[in-house]
Amino acid sequence: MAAPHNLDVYLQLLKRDGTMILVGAPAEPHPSPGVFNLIFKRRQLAGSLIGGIRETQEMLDFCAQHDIVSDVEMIPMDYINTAYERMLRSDVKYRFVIDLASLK
Amino acid sequence: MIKTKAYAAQSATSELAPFELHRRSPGAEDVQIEILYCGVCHSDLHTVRGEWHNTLYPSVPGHEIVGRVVAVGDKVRNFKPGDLAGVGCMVGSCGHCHSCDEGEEQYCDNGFTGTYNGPVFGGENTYGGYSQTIVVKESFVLHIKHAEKDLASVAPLLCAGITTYSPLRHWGAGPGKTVGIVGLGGLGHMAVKIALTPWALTSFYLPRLRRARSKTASGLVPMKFAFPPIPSKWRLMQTALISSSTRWPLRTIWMSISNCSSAMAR
Ligand SMILES: [Zn+2]
Ligand SMILES: [Zn+2]
Repeated sequence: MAAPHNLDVYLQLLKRDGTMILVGAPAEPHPSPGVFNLIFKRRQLAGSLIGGIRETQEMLDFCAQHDIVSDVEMIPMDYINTAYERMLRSDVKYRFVIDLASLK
Repeated sequence: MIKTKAYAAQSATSELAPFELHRRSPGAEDVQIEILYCGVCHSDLHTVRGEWHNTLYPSVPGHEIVGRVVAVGDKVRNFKPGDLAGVGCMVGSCGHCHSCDEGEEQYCDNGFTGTYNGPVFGGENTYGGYSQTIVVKESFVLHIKHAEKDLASVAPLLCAGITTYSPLRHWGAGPGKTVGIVGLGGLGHMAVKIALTPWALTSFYLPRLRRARSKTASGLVPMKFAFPPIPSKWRLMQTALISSSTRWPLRTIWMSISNCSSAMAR
């Protein structure tokens, strides 16, 4: 259900040499942005996939050091199908987390 | 073999339901983890519903796993029973290509092994964190140093956290840069927290995007947004992360990172 976005809207907000990075993975591709929005200010459109194991450990340590955690809503395992429907409506602030103790 | 309760989808159109699976007994380099919490990522939903057209069924998703080590193999040096541990999106890679050598296993030339839905280039299925136990090679297990009471809120760092941390680091988000986050969901809210720390937030701007009246024929694809005029100061955006995977990325934030003494760049 994840949908393509109009990348031109955002590309136009980048200054010279700015980079726009795609990290979401929609089921359908984004339409290609206008070439002029790239060449006129040497803007870059890039993608990035998760991170390596070493970097993931570095991120976890960084977050532990600076007390960064996610804002979550805890759910029991048998709520998962309802949680998916709510996710599709962006009805979660900001992540569901399953309590596996509920899986009996 | 270790019998484990889980939740699985049997097809693209069936709901997730109770399922029983078997984990391998821990080998010399393996860590066995009792899963305590697992975050719910949009990729889980794409996968169980077959939306990327590559799903192996039954499908047990979940790649934001945190838990406690219950057993380790003979050659495991960095984990012991009782430790808090995490598992993210990968449980294996070839270990000898250029990317693996540089610690970028996610770009492994031979395809990393996803925590669920198997090796990306085919092969046997793997089962993720919607389950009670997982056995993972030590080199793909992470240490959790947060307080134990925060453990549930740490789980989403394993995907949403690293997915935003890595590009922010790679493209040098830090002092003097302005970062825009499009889509404030699971990924986006982590990007905000990570981009702003440890630097003081000096200013931010929240444009209110409005859905344009015209839609495409399907009514599903938003091709036009009514973007409000952005103050010129905020047109200096250096980096934008498009993290939204839901239909309307109406929540966005532009942040100016400054007022700091240390740099994020390595
Ligand atoms: Zn994910
Ligand atoms: Zn490799």
